[in-house]
Amino acid sequence: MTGMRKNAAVPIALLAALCTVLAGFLVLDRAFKLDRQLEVSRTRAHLWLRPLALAVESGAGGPEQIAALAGAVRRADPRIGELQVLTGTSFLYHSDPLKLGAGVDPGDVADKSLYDSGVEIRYLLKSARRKPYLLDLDHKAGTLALSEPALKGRRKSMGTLRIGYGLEKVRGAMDGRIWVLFLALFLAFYFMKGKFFKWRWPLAAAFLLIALAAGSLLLLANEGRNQAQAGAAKRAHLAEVGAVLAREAPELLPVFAADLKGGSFSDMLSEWKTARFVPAGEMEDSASGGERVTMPGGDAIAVEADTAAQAERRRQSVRQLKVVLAVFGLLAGLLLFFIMAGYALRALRALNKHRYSYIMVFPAMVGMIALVLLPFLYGLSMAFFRVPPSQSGKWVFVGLQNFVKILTDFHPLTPENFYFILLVTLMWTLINVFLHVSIGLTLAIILNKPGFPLKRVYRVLLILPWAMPSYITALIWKGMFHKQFGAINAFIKLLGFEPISFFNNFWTAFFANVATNTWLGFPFMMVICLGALQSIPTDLYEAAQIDGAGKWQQFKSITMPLLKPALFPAIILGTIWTFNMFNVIYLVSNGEPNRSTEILITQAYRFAFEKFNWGYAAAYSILIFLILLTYGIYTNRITKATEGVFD
Amino acid sequence: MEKKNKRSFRERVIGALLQFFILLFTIGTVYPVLWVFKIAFGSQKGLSLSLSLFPAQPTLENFNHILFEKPFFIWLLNSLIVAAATSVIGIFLAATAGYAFSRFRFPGRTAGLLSFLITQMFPGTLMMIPLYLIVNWLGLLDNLAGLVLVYSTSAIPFSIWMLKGYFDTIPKELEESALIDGASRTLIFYKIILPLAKPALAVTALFSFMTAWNEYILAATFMNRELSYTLPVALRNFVGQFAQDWGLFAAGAILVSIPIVALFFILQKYLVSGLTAGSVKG
Repeated sequence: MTGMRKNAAVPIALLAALCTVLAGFLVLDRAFKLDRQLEVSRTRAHLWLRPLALAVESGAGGPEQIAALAGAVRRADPRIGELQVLTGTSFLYHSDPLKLGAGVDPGDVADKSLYDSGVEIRYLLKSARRKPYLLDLDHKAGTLALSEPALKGRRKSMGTLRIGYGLEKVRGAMDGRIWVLFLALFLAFYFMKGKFFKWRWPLAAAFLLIALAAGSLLLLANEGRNQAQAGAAKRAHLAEVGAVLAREAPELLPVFAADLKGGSFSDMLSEWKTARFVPAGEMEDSASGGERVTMPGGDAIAVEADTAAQAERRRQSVRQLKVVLAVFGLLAGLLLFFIMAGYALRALRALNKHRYSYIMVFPAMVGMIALVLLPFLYGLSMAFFRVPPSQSGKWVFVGLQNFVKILTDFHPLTPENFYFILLVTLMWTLINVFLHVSIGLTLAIILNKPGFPLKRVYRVLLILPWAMPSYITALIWKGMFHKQFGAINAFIKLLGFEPISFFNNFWTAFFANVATNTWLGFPFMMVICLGALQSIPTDLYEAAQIDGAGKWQQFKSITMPLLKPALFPAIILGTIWTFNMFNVIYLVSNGEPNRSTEILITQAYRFAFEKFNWGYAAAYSILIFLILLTYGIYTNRITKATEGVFD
Repeated sequence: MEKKNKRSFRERVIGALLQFFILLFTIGTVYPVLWVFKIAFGSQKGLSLSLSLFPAQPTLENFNHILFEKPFFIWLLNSLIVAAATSVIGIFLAATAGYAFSRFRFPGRTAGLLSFLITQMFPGTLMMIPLYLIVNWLGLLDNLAGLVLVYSTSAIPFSIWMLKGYFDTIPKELEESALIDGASRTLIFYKIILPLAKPALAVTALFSFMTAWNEYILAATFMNRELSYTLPVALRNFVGQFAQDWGLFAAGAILVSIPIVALFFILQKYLVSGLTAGSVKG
């Protein structure tokens, strides 16, 4: 009892640390999201105000038309709270109908503040120390108020406009994925009880680190998504403004477009991380993330995502993240240090005690780490980025986007659909392994019959496919399946049928692949079976015969059980090889017809080296690896194939 | 008497049927190989639509062409260097590691063995891009050393498992008595274990050699100059996107396959014992 109470301090500390980390991530994520949505709201408010300011500046149409336009703007967006256009001391438009046409009432708080804003903006314009806009945030009420001048020239204010705009509510941060972290937490403490008891501290610390890493990854991913959503919202809003303008004041459209191009407010826009607006013709590279927004009845305006500003924002958020991570990392590191110090001491002692073993393993280990483990981790990390095809390009972090894209593509008509290919791959593996084992076993049993004539000759000839290089085999079979000149079609013609073009139909192409791989793969299974059969003592069969067991019963009760230890590892290995059998698919059917006979590994290769979509290909490969790993662990548990090997 | 005769008749029928089956199957198995011979010795560039295994006008034209008008011997040398270096390096690294894994109990042993097993599941496509970047970074693109490096590491896990399985079957008493006689661990390894493990070493070396000799994708990705091609890449290009010279391919395929098939058959008697040594035990 006392021991338990003494030990309870560490898990509680760990739990507290984990909860703090989680809470920190939640707060950070919410802050990021709020920030991004504020940015969108500011841009929307500004884009509503701007045409009105232009109308005042141009002086065309007169006060009635400006009022009408303002009314239309206010009706167009329910989030607009108040809207005022003030010139001198009288309102051209006021969202409160009682104030329309009236002068500024110094006793009214709202009027007073607007008037003061106008004064301040005029002062700012003169001193030009700051950009002439004023923003008031009221987080409690969920609104912002934006005041801007209508300018004459560069310095002279003609009037002040103000808009009150409702902020969007920010939903609970980190969505459902936060539960993954809680799951990690749960697992950390779950494992402490069972057979991992002696590893509970390092495990918990590791989970803490994993939670840190996963949280920051999710945070970054969310931030990327927020950014993309913000960009899309801004672009959509531009079209909205354009529609109102086209309806109410079409003559203002070109002025608006010219203004967007980077007139007086371009600095402000870029500071607000809005899109940078360029007339369609002038955009240099519309392919680089640019987009066109066509305004109804007006010019097409190309909108180019302001990547520089976005990158700055990204850097800023990463900086913030780094600070938080550094603090938590330091805490976790300290914890880990104290826990691991003991283990390190023990490890050093072990290293010294077993130094001879480690020296012998060392060279192989270095090679494996440098050329297997590091590339693997590199490939692993690639799956979370958008990797440009050129090596000099910058990686863009996209979180789990690659995986989501692969796994949520359910479109049944695209043969590149992951699930379709997975199905083909499973079918391919099952059929092949079944054929390899059944043919190999049959031949082995026949050749193992005592006194079977020409045994050795057959054996040598039947191993031939294994001895041949597989790429040559694959290419030979591709030639054999050739429509006009292949031996298979010659045979079919001989039988009196029409020649088949094997690679125009899924099933025939699939058949061609399977035939090739069966030819390639059965000798391995045959050799394994032969070896195992030969090691079964013959007196077992004799004893069974004396006991009156039939041939089938002998096979079932003696041969099969004694074959198992050799056959199961071979089957597991064969399954993994077939699952990743690149050569046959790539060289025989090459995915024809229409990429439908592709298996996962060849599809991943295509994404990597034909489409140069490396992040996507890496994500694809990781899915393959996970499938195989699950299979390996599962079969290992069932067959205990590797049991005894570790003794 | 009658009954016995009947049974032996039935057995004879079954025996004949089995013979027939095996014969058919063997013909089916060997046919593609013979078909390659026919094309290689044939005079057409393309394929021929006949089941007969004898070319209409036998000629050595294709062999002449590939041997003396193409840089065949350079490709052969490339392949030989890469495959030999791979198997030597692989064997050296795997033998010591396999011995340690077989004989000593040290922390990390199980994890190491398991991790070697797991590396076999890494999809090649995942490794190819990073490997490409690493080899490029080392400046070894278009260089045989780059291929050797990559091949030997990919051959090591399999070699370690095979050799460990074989070392397990060598009785420990041999080393114990040598230890008592005052031999060092290193001496025991080189003078007792390695000579005893010769068959396993041969099979493992053969596997490494074959893997390197037959590997196509990595070689095609890393080697871009015609003169640094290995044989698989060169052969594939005969019937690739830009050419359809099946005669040349067939001649090359025969030249490439003969040494490896010969090697395979010489060592095949060790094959079964080598492959099953580790697994039959449990």
